[in-house]
Amino acid sequence: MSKYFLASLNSFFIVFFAYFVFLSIISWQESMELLDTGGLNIDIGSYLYLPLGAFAFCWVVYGKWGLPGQFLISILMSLYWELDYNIFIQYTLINVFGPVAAVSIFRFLQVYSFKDFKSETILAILFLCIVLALFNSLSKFFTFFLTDNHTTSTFDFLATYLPGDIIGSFVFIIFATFMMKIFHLGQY
Amino acid sequence: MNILKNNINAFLLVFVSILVSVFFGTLIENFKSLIFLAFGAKILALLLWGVYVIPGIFLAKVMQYLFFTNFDPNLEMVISLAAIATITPVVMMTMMKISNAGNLFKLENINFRHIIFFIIITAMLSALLKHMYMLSDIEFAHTAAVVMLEALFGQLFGGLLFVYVASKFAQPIYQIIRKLKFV
Repeated sequence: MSKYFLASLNSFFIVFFAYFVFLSIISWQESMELLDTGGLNIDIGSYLYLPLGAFAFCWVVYGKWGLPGQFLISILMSLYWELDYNIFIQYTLINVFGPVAAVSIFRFLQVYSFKDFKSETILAILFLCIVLALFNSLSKFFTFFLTDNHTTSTFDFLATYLPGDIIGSFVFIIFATFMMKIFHLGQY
Repeated sequence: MNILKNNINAFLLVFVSILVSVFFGTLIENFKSLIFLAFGAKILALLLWGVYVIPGIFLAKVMQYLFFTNFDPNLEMVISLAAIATITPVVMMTMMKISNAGNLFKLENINFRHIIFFIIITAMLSALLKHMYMLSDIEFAHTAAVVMLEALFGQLFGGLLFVYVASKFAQPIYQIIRKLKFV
């Protein structure tokens, strides 16, 4: 089996795992009546948006060879949530290329190399997560609000997306790095 | 005495660049210019004179929000916005230092790319925080996203342009002034 196919497949399952946990948490919150979203409401972010961390992790570890898998899972999730056609494309592009842009800025401007997460400090990862969250929240905000595809206020949108992206991506990357160290997984 | 002098310098630098942005810049319907040089001036002042010039920058930002805005701000809003604008770069500088992303508190051996990175993330965070605070209270002619997009790109372009021009031409201009014996 081709190495590139394997990279894509790994990316697919890593992001799928993040989505699965994220959806499980939402379902649990709804079942415990902690949250009433009436299904997925993209106008309000979750406070633990794990998939963002998964996308960033896959880009750092697998590079461009993991992108097809990330695209596929993002499209499948958009179909599962029955998003509008406009939102669907924007959502997929932002999910996949937001982390690519954020990590590339770090690399291009020689702040961190981010060859893999094993050699980076926790503070470096936290800093990446903050920049990732800024990119993701702002780009989603611009696309949703410029196309008038929103029902909530600006403040509610940003106040839920930004912390959710920071916490979710940080939790996922730390967890994934920990698992890599335990199972001695290296860079692709 | 030196700190006071630096504060006056920082105030003048930021305030003059606000005037330049407002009167000669591409002034648009909201309160920002699409090339908002004051953002770059603020960053440069912090890099040159350190965090001790925060009062000078704060005063200049208060003047900006009092006199050069299209909406009618109250005092609480002016102080809050000026505080956000002043504190955000310092927070990012501290964060970069703590996470070993680059020490911008000392200008020696600084990587210019780190300054570009600093400008990008500070512009994003500053635009986000200010508009999160502001958009809940003020009615703008445009939608929230347009206002924020203009502010973000204004700060980004203005910041990058100002710091680039200053780093490229500040030394030759200073030498010419010295030759003319004004300094």
